[in-house]
Amino acid sequence: MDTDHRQLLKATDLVAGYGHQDICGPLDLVVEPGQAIGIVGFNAAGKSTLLRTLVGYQEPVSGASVILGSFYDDSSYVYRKAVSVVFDEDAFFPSLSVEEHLQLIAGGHGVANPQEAVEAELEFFNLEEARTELPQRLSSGQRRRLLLAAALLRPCQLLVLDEPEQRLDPTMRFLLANRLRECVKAGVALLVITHDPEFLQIVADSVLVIADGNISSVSVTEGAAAIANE
Amino acid sequence: MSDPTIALFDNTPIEFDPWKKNHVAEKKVRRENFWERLSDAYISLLAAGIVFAYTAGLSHAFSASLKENIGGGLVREGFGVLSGEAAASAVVMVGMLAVLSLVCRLGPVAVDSAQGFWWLTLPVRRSPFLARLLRQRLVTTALYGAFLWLPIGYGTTLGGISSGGLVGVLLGSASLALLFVLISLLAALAQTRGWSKGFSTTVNYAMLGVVLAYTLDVFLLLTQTGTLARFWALLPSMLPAAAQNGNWWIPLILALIAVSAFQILRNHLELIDSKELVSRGAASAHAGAALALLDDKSLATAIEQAGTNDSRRAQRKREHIRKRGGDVFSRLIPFHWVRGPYSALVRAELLVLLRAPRVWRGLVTGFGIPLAGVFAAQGGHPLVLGALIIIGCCVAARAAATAAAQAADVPSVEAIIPLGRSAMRQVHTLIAAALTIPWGISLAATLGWAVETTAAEMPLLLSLGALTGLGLAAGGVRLAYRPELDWGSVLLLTALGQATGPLIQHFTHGYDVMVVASVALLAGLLLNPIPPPLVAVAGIVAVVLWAVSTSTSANSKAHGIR
Repeated sequence: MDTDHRQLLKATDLVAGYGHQDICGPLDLVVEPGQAIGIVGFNAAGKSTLLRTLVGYQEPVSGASVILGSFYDDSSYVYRKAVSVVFDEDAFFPSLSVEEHLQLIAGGHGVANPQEAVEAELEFFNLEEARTELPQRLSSGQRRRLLLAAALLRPCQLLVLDEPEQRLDPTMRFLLANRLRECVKAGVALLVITHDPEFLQIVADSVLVIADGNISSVSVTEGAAAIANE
Repeated sequence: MSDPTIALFDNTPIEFDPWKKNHVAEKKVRRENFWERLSDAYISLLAAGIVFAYTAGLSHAFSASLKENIGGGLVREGFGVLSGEAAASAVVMVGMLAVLSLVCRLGPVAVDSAQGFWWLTLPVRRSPFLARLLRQRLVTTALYGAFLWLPIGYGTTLGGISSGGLVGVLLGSASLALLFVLISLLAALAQTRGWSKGFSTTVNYAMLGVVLAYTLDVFLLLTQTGTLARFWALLPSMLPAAAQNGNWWIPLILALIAVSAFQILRNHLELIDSKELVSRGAASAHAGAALALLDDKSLATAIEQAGTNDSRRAQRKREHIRKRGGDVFSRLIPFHWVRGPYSALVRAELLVLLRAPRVWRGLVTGFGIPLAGVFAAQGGHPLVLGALIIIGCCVAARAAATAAAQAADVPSVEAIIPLGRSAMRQVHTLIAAALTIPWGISLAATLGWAVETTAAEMPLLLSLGALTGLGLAAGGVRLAYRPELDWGSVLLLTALGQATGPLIQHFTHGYDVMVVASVALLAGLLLNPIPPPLVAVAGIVAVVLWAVSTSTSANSKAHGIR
């Protein structure tokens, strides 16, 4: 097992898919702190499947993905502390307000000065006025912002986001992109799926393009062009 | 991000209890006060009391009738070989294993989607909140067990099978409740070890084992070569009955085992994988929603589908079929045979029936229920046998109409076939009848042999079996196309207050036809000799049932896409 602490994630000959059905791959990838990788491709190209497989949520068809030196182990506190994930689906406690959802995350991750951190996220994601609202009263965009606030509120080493720009207005997209860039500068590694070329250009250092089941590594400019051609 | 430079490889949990955090927040928004909750509890108890009173009344009437007619069995001399205790032990054991299978599919340790999303990702110890969730489910399971035993215990006391009075019934009730708790703890243990899927299969084999033991015992008794009486007496299913007979220490010991097992298990709940917790939670949520909406069709689907499609074996099978361009059945009934909409529909229906194991399971179970009754001491009693035949017929009819039920669930698929709704249902009924008619003839032949029907009368009985099969197909299709429950008119306003007529009408839709269809076979078994005009009457009834079930006028609102 790889124990190089610089390697947050290491994928070797990884083929993502369902059962024995290949969707995309093979992929060899090493993700280190402060590295931001964008993943782009057509709808149903296998971006989310690849991302889920990389972080261990789904078993690979072949190959392996190792996070922090070990295979996906859900019972590991290290994994839960280090990896922050937002996929497309969401679920909320019907009786907990926006602020209480964030307090739950802050408390559960042992954030120092939790209320201060919650206030900062509420302000950043423009959720201050909705802080006492229950989830069923939130708009689709507000729910998305709440999820992103929860992902960014907590400390982590690897941030994994599936189309974070979806349902956000242009201003918030821009703010989010810059915020993610700051996180990367601070040492967080980022894996992000996006369909927004501007967002990609602000956030990513390199790009994986999935087309016809093949994964190729390209520059950010080429990745943005690939999105424009979708 | 507040602090991205957390210590790597710090594998220690954060001291935080998400349950407590949620509980405090939820308390603030909870609208109910103490009195409202008390009122809810009162209404629940009252409803349970009314249900119990009805059940007790029926049990009383049933057992009184049995007592009056003891010895007046239908089956031939020497057939009712199995003692009532052994048969009861087998039935309760199969019931307990069915509960275990159900608990395995739905949990017992499970989280809902929000808990899965917000709690399971926290680096906190999961055991405390998982133990609380498990405890809640154990209480619910225990209540089901306790209430289930009340009518059984009461009925067996009235029937003279058991003694112990009210205290005895309560002891039996407590024992079954605790057995249900232990069953749930066993399922939870399987979850902690990652055995859930294999465990569920083992439970199904155990159920099959009990059925085989029943068959073996009947064979041994019929051939007078031995008995499995001791085996039945040793099964845990005998414990509630034993407790009811005054053995108060049984629930006490069961309680001690349950408490100790829970204490040991709670520290191992941390081992359960998130995927397992979330998938069981999703299955529970599906089943819970179906239950809340009183949708028994959806409930059956939820239970059947829970945790079945995610195995690697199933994935491999799907992939194999995809690569070969179809399974053995699609090659058996090739597409080039299709010449028009009728043959297209028939091919699709046949493929569904061949691919759905539940069709064959249902037909075999439906056949086995009355057959198992024939060999039990009181199973040959007209009332008992009648009840078992009706239950068996309903089970078989539901199974045979599986394709119709699937079609009814997805009306848009039916919409693409250029056939009228009535013609569509005629085809559904025809296909179901292709299964139920041979089934009915086989059951009639077997039961006719058991009740000593003469060779001269056998053709009449077989005809009645065939007509019963025809009616059952119609009933199955009628049930499949049961309209959605109209929640705006579940209660009927009458001069005497609100009545639940529409609600009852909804739930009996389909079963009404099945019960009427079973009467032909029942009459053939009860009447001696069988009057030949009975076949003609049964034929007319079957035609009427067919017409009622394939008529589309009444359901046009519910399935009115064409």
